[in-house]
Amino acid sequence: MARIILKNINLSFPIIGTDIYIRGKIINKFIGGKIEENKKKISIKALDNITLQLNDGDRIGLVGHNGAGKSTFLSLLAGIYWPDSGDIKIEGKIQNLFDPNLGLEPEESGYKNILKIGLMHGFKKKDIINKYQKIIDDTNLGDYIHLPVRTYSSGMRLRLGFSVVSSLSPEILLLDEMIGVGDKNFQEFAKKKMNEIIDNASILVLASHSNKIIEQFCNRVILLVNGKIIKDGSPMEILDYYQNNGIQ
Amino acid sequence: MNELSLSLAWTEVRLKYIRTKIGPFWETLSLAILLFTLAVLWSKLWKIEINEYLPHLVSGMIIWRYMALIITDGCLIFTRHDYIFKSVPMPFSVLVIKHIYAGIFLFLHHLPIIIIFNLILKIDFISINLFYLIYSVPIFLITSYSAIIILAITSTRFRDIHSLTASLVSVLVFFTPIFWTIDQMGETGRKYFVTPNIVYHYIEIFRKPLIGHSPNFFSVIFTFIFTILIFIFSMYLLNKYKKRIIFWI
Repeated sequence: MARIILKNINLSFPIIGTDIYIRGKIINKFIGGKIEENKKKISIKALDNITLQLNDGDRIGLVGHNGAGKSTFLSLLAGIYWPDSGDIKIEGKIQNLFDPNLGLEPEESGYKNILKIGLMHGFKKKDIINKYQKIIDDTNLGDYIHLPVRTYSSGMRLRLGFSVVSSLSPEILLLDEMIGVGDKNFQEFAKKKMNEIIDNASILVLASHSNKIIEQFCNRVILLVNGKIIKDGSPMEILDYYQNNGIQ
Repeated sequence: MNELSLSLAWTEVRLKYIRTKIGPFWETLSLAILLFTLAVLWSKLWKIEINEYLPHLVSGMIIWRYMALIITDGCLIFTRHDYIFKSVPMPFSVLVIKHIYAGIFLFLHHLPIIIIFNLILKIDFISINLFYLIYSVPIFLITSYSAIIILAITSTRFRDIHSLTASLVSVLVFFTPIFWTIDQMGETGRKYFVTPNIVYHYIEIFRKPLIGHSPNFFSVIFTFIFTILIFIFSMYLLNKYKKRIIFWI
């Protein structure tokens, strides 16, 4: 059973090292977050009073314009940010795929990099070693696996990173706009892998600007505007609302 | 967590030398040559026995190299690895421990210089005094851990601290009895430059056992108290700011 419960979550980013004059200028309503000023500290409110429950089987799509708080929300779930106030309760193993090539070392061989990428994403060494052969087969890199990664094309690098992170089966999976990268070949590959892990995960949270992707993977969509949840419902309903109301 | 720290540190070392033939030995060799020539020159100038001066200089300098690396690069560990902290939930301690490993690797591959010079000069260093290292090593590790945390947090928030620390470190090497010995310093000089110099006491508890002496009691006590204080302070700082650090990176 996987579950995420959020209660009255608030999160603001402090702005450090910007002088008052420039601060005055950046107060601009096209910026997603709300800029708050108290005393001498200036911060951008990225998440505003978020209360939400995600249950087993939820395939959440996050929509909203740039700066609406989608990535911040994902990072909060991932444990990268701590909220200023509110409660988070997460049940289940959570994994993010924000950067599948994190930990990649270009001078080392692909073979050695499998361990590095895996460790960086929080896996235990022995778990990675158990899955080594499967990961190598997944990459489809053949003998290239023994060459330094600097000789790889960017598609091959992605394939390597992707094969490592997708070999683990998280209960809660967080994704941020990464399906659209790479060439056609990679896209096919990514789609296949993606379907595999998404099928295995109990909860998926995916941020995307592409309606096609949202419709394909999600069964519930959340619309964020200026760090607030404006709407929460079925993909059809929310995507329609989002487009018709032209929320900027 | 430890696996990751070790893997990161080891990669860093490997990468530094990946396409050189005798790689890491160049650095050790050139340090050995430098220290040997300086020792010969200065022991003549200052009329000190080379048997006494060379081990003092060599061991002091190699311990100092470790400390300088820990302190100056310690300031940068969060900012240099910002992409990691922004992509995965990574405990800060992973990179702190990684940096300590980097320091240990550096020390270990300079350690043969101390041993070889000890053997050449027939210094009786394999003695009961080596047991002092059982005290010194943990003291060094705990202090390194705490110092890195303090420096990394403060210099992530205030970027000037790294430059400030770097210039202090480059001066400190001359104010600490590494190139000179405390016997050369007069009574007043010792009172102002040696007794309050915490770096000296740390070098003392490590250097003396390595060259066959026992460290003085005052240094042992001083380092013990300092280690406890710096550890408490670093934990306080980390607990207070751990939620904010990510916004400063």
